Amino acid sequence: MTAGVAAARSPALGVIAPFFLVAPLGLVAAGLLIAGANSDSFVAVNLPRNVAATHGVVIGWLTTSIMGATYQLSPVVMGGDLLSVRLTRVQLYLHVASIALFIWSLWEWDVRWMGVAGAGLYISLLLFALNISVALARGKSWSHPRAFVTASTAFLVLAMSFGLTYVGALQPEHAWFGITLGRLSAHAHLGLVGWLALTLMGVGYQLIPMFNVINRAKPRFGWAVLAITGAATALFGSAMLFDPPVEARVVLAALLALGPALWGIDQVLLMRSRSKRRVDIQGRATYASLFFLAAVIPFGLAASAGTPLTPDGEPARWLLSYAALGMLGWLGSTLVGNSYKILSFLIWFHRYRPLVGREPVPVASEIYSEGAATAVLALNGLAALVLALAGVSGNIGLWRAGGLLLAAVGTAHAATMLYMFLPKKARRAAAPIPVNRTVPNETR
Amino acid sequence: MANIELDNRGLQPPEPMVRILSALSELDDGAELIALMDRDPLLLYPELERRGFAATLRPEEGWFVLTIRKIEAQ
Repeated sequence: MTAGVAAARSPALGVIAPFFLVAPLGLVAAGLLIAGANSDSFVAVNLPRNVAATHGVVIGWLTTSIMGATYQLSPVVMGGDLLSVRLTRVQLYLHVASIALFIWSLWEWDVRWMGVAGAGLYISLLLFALNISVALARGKSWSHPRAFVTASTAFLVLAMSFGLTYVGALQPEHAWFGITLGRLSAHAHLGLVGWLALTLMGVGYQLIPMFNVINRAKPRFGWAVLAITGAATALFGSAMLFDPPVEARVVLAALLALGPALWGIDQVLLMRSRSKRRVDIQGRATYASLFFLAAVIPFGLAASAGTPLTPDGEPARWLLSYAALGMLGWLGSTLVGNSYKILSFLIWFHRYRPLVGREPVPVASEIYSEGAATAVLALNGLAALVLALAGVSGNIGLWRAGGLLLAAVGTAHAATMLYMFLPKKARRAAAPIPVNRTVPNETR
Repeated sequence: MANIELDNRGLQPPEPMVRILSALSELDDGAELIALMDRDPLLLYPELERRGFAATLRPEEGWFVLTIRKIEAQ
């Protein structure tokens, strides 16, 4: 087999890095919004401040980071060339301007500007989907990441279409339909499970074995996870539009949880068979995300039941706890772990790879601070737990404290990302490479 | 003229690439660098090309054998 040349298609560092650097600002915005919450924040999940903070986390932080990672990984490990590298820059500018305006308009509940910003976001995400779809279509074989990201990109467009339709329905002259809790849930889960979770789970199947050196074990449920999660998300999204009764909601929620649960089992089995015994930021993040996945499933099931199973008969509190555990705990931990590994590798690859063999270069793990990265991961986990506890207990002071923690996570994440770009020198001399020399043909 | 063998299995990225690129400077003309790899090193190939080397990859059971040799001047 002749070796491929896929890396020639890898976009430059300057294209990818801005996505990672700007993304944590979404988390800062969300944290500050929560920190300034009023005492009525637990009354409903769709209060302006809650919706603004949610979009700051989901589209500002998680989605922007994932877009950067996908632009990098799609050409190299999933498919072929992007449609246009220049388009990625245009898309980023449009995305950042739109998400900033969108969060503000949600907070102020200014439906006019919501429409303008929502349209900008929709165009931005369509451009992303187009660029990535072309790269994915150029792939030759169906690996887990390629299949998962293909499906998740379709769910992204679907979730955004729901969102933009809702923004249209909010316009006074339209008022097409009421945005019920079920419809809101459909939009949220198409985005959170269909887009974010499928992407992170699929990319996890590539990155977790790669960075933890797992060769003996193969994923057992990869294709089942994709099929079940994809089908369950589509079914959930369709059914919730009609606000089904509690029994149906619980069954749909259980179906939705099945795929991620199988993924979690897969990751535990993979991690148990890893060759690299030392656990670094990515390994810690994997364990943290599995912990939060185990926590978010029962929360989600209880939240789907509504009033009978929620504290003081206030479903909004339980839903907010569920959101904190899922978005920040499960998906956020996964993202934090992978962001340090992906970006440090990219910086090493673009800046130091050409120098290898010619002069001492830092190793990839010297590009980022393991201690600082672990602190960000721990702080993020703490923020998720505090916010979840605040929701369960109905303690607004705790909720605000969780918001401050979240803003601190975003600031620290941005600072540690920026630190990676500072020039580094090799801290230790390269160890001699143990090579065997043989006469020709003996090795064949 | 001696070949060089590297066992890069069990190493996380980018260590296999560092070991290969570092060892290339010791490779005699006409000799081969044979590296055992956990996976197809997609990011390595353009750098090999830039340095005047060509590679072929042979899958084995559970790993790959990467063979690198200098591109002969035309």
